[in-house]
Amino acid sequence: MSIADKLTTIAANEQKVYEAGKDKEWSDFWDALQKNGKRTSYAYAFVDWQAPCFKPKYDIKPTNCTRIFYNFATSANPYPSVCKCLEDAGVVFDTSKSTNVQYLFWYAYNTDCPVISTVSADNVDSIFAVARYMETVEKLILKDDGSQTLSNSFSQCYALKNIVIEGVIGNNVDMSACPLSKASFTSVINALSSTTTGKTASFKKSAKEAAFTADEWAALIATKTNWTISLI
Amino acid sequence: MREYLIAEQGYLWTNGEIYGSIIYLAEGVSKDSFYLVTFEEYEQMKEQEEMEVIE
Repeated sequence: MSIADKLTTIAANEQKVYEAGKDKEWSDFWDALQKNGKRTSYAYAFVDWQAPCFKPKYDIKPTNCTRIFYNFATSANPYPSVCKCLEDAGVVFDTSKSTNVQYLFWYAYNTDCPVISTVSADNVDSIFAVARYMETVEKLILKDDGSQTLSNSFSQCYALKNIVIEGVIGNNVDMSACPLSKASFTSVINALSSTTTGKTASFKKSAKEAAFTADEWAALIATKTNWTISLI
Repeated sequence: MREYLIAEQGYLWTNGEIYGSIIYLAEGVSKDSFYLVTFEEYEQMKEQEEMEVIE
């Protein structure tokens, strides 16, 4: 092939070459960041990360994920869906082996999160604290024994409407900031331990009034007479 | 029907741990451990608590 022909071929494939270079760079970057898929400690891993760049190459299966999404997507407009980011990247975020899930979405600006399993963690303190734009938690899986504490787990979750709880809540829980939907109220109250005593659960009064008739609410909380329940 | 406390506008019931304009008492929990605070007092307490969460 003559030099002229080579130059013609290169020119014709310029975009392909550029894309291939970009893909290689992305691949090398995530190989390094995720240790070729073998990384397990993800504490603070995506602090200040902006959503368009969040395209992990490998599944994220941390043994420690405290503050993994701290300050995530602060400059995004609109605030992004972490679920969509993970779906687009084709990766799984599996926290079931994580012994530390505290402050997982601390100050994060995303609007949702996928299923979060906390079955290997002693507590779920502050897990969604100050995630002020989080509207949906697909599912929060707790241990079945109700032993985990939930201190400040939902502090300042002013947008949290949809959440499914699996497992048992056996310690004080404060969701008084959250405008929960009817299904979410029901899921949370159903998850309250039926055997624990001396514990409290707090909810947002205006959300309860929007979701339930007086009779419906009375019937729901009548299932957990071992809990002191407040509406603020 | 479970026992409950309702606070007048601008006030909340508390036992020092839980706050609410309506509090549904658990079986065995006495009304006597609850007292009224103003909403402003609650807001101050909450602000302090939020500052602690923020670190």
